[in-house]
Amino acid sequence: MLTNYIKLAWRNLIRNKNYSIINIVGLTIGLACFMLIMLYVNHEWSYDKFHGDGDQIYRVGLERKYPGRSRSYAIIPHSYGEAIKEEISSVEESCRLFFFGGNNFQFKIEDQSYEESSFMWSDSTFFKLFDITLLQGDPSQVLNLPNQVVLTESAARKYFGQSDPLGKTILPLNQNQPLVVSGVCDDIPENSHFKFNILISSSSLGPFLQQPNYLSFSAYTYIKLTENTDPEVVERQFPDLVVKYASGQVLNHFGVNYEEYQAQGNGYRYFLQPLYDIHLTSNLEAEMRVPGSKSRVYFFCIIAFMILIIACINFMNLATARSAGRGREVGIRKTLGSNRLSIGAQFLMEAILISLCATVLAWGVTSTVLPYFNTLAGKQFILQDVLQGRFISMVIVVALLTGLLAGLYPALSLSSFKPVEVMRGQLIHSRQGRSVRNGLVIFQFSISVFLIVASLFVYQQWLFTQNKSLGFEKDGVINLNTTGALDRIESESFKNELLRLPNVIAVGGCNSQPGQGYFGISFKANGANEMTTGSGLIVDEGYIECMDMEMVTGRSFSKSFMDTLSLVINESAAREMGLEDPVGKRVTSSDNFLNTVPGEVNNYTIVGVVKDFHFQSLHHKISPLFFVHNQRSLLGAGIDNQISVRISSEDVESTLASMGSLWRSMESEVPFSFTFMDQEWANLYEKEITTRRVSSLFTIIAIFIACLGLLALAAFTAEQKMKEIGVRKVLGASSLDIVTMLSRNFLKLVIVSILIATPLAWYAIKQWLTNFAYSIPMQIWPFIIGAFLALFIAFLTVSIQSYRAARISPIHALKDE
Amino acid sequence: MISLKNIERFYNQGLQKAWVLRDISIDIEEGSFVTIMGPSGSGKTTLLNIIGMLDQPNNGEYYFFDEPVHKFRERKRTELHKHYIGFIFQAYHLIDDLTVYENIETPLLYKNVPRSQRRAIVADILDRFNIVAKKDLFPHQLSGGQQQLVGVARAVVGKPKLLLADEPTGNLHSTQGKIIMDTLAELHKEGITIIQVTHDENNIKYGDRVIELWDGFIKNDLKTAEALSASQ
Ligand SMILES: Nc1ncnc2c1ncn2[C@@H]1O[C@H](COP(=O)(O)OP(=O)(O)O)[C@@H](O)[C@H]1O
Ligand SMILES: [Mg+2]
Repeated sequence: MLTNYIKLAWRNLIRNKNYSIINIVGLTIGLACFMLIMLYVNHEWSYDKFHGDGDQIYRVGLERKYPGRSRSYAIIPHSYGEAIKEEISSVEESCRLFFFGGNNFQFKIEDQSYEESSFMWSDSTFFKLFDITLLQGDPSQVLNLPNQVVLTESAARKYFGQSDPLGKTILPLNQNQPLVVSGVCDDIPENSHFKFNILISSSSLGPFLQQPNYLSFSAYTYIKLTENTDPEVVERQFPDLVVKYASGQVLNHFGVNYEEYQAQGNGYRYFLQPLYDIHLTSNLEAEMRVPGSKSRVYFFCIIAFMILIIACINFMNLATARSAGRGREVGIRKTLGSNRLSIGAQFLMEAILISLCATVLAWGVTSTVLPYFNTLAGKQFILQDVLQGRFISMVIVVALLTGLLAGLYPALSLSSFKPVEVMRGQLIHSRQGRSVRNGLVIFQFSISVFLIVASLFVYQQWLFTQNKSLGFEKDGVINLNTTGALDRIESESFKNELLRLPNVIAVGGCNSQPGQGYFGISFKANGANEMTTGSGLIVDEGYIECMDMEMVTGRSFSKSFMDTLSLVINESAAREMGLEDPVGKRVTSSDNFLNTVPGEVNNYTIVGVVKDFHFQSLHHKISPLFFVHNQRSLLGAGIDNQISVRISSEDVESTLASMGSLWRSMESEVPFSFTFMDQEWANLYEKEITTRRVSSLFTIIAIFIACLGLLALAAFTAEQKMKEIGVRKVLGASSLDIVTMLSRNFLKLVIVSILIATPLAWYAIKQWLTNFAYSIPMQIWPFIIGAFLALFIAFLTVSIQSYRAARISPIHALKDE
Repeated sequence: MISLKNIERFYNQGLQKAWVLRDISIDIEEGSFVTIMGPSGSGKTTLLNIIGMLDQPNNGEYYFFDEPVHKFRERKRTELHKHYIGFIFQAYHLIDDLTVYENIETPLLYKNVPRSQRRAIVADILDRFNIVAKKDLFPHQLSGGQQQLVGVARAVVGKPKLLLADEPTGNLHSTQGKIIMDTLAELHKEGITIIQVTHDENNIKYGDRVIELWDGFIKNDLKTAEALSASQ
């Protein structure tokens, strides 16, 4: 019986070649999109799932409360790791990671210089907590002592080749203590929220870790709970820990006891983040890698299903539309004694056969376009990912479901035909069938209109973020990564030499750049009773000018003044500190990590206010920022971590070349390395670029499939109305009259779709735009464009068919057979 | 009114020509009622379609009111057809989605008759054919005879000079058929020219001339009285 079904289904496919092709092409594209998106989604979901006991591992996050506001951080004071493990019995183990983004690790192995961008410090418990396999070395020994490092397998191969790396030494630049390789571990999978090639024992960080610190944040702290522990129970014990450990330091630093401090609206709230959820749900300050986004994953899932549903609808519509022809077959079969079930099964088999054909083809398509998809989505999928058992079984399930979804309605509707009615030709013009089809077409086009409008907004927002004035000029700036290799005098002369080069316009030194992340720092205005926390940036006298930042009042740092204890702030900082006329005001800092003389009071004077500029992507609101003079650099007085050079657009190549040779003449051990600021800035929007590209591509595909269906439906309608067309032509209708008649109904459906999609899109886009701190306003014109585009495309599709139908001679149409 | 000279019509079937009409020459005067007879496949419908300008002969000349139709382009033919010719089909060919009223109104739409006039003309026709009560029904709610009556009404609503009827009673039983034929006779009396194709001997008597086709040739072309006596 089954083979009989398949045989009949196959014959039907062949006989109605055009419909079969449209069905299969639509489903193939739909399934291919679905597979690609599922690859992407699967990957996003899979983050950190490779850690076996991951469901027991949590990261401790911190919500730092300030009067009237708060900020949440992925890093916490480094002493809590120990404290939590000791005080809370259900905490089995803890591990701290230290990671400082934006820096490169430069070192020598024997006489060869290297640079590594991916490195972290970790406690010795790392391999107990995380499921990263240690290939060489003893898990309980590898990170126990200062100056031990573990390399990943590929880093070991890169730096040591075939020779055994264990016991070999690495000499960091600017440091005398060599690091000893104590172990080699597996490479960190791509789907991990942290990543390193070199892991250094945390004790190598020096004395700063020995000092107890419960106030300033630096450590990514992970804890593993005993089995079946409710994380909320653990969280509830944190406030007591804070009182116990931090209150003393609060009193020392802020001069108030913790209760009073809290009463002022300040405080520290610690919370737990499940390891498995970090990638998709956590978006705190100081994340190690750009986090994913659950809403984007949902968005892509929705697109994938929409495309698949559009393709299924094509199938349903064509199948039921053809019921006129098939109805006769059903009628005859029923008079021959076939029951409804077997007729339904026959139609279902046809649908499943088509969907399986499409699945096989879609597989091929997916494998072929994988490299292009990788560029599009910024991922590195390989053929094996498509061949995984899990993936294959998912695809087969989806294929069967697609077949069922597409085939069920036609099977039910066709098999219900009553032979007598069919023979009398009554059901051929079944109004019910037509209204279901109309509903489905409306559904398809509502999705299409929605996607067109959404893509236009995604694109507009993207343009906006690209073109919005940032408050500084990122184009034409080259950042030299000097990593403090030059001392104060060398640095000074290097900068002067740079300025002498023909195409160099301005030069400025700093410790970090907009977009790279700044360190946190707090100041208290004299007379105020609360601190203002913001970001800190260390710059020289040339930097503010070099970046084309605008001074609102006062002056920027200058060689004509003694500016060691001067401060330049941005407008937001002035506002938050409540300073009407900031210039000349004195402020104090409690942070003593800048190279202060012990015992010195950190009294600064504000000398100028810079116009607010975006030092983070436009997702973030501009927050308080404090410029500190580079005489107080983290690296030592007058030493710059980076040097920014503004060059003219002429002859960039040769300017770069002369900068390079100038650098080499300084005889530094650090290689010449630079980045273009505009490119680096663009990287901040990587995820938006992905979203924009993916959404516009899949929008086009969705519309294409919907139009494919419309084309077939129009062809079908024309075929079905052949007689009517003939009659009308005999009655004097022109071709134009016929085209109008055939197109009008479809265009009505599209107009209804527009009416449905517009409010939905309006709402969804409004929601989406709230993700951005700075966004475009809601506008009407994308809706208008979307509506016209949908109408235009639909009209084009339908009128081609209608015109063909209108040209046909009436005597052919009216032949009585 | 109509003058056909050496009309030929064939279809190319592979390398061979399949002849449908050969050497047809007929003159039809305005106001006559012509019956075309002949066995199935003899070319009656094809001849009717050519006269109705829905089909073109391969050879020969066709003058309609002395105008050389065979030389006209399609657009011009369509115009002539639209203004001078009404069609009645064996299978009625009413438009399923339109009511009786709308079906009858359709030819007027294509002639760009203004709305108020349309309403008056259609009301007139409905009244005349006694189908006012049926005007809001759809075709499938009518009997075959009623449907054909609507078909006739639709064919004459535009006041054509020539009415072409291809086996108008072929699908009807005799009483219904008689009503249709009586209607045609009445129309004829009012001056409209009618060409009908029929198999039914009973329908011959309504016309004044009988043309018999045989395998694409004209076998006989007689006055009705002669034809009736010949067949007896
Ligand atoms: N499109 C066509 N292609 C080939 N042969 C045709 C076509 N249309 C009609 N014929 C042939 O022309 C002949 C005459 O047809 P028709 O005029 O419909 O005959 P009648 O109306 O007298 O029954 C028939 O043999 C038919 O097979
Ligand atoms: Mg015929």
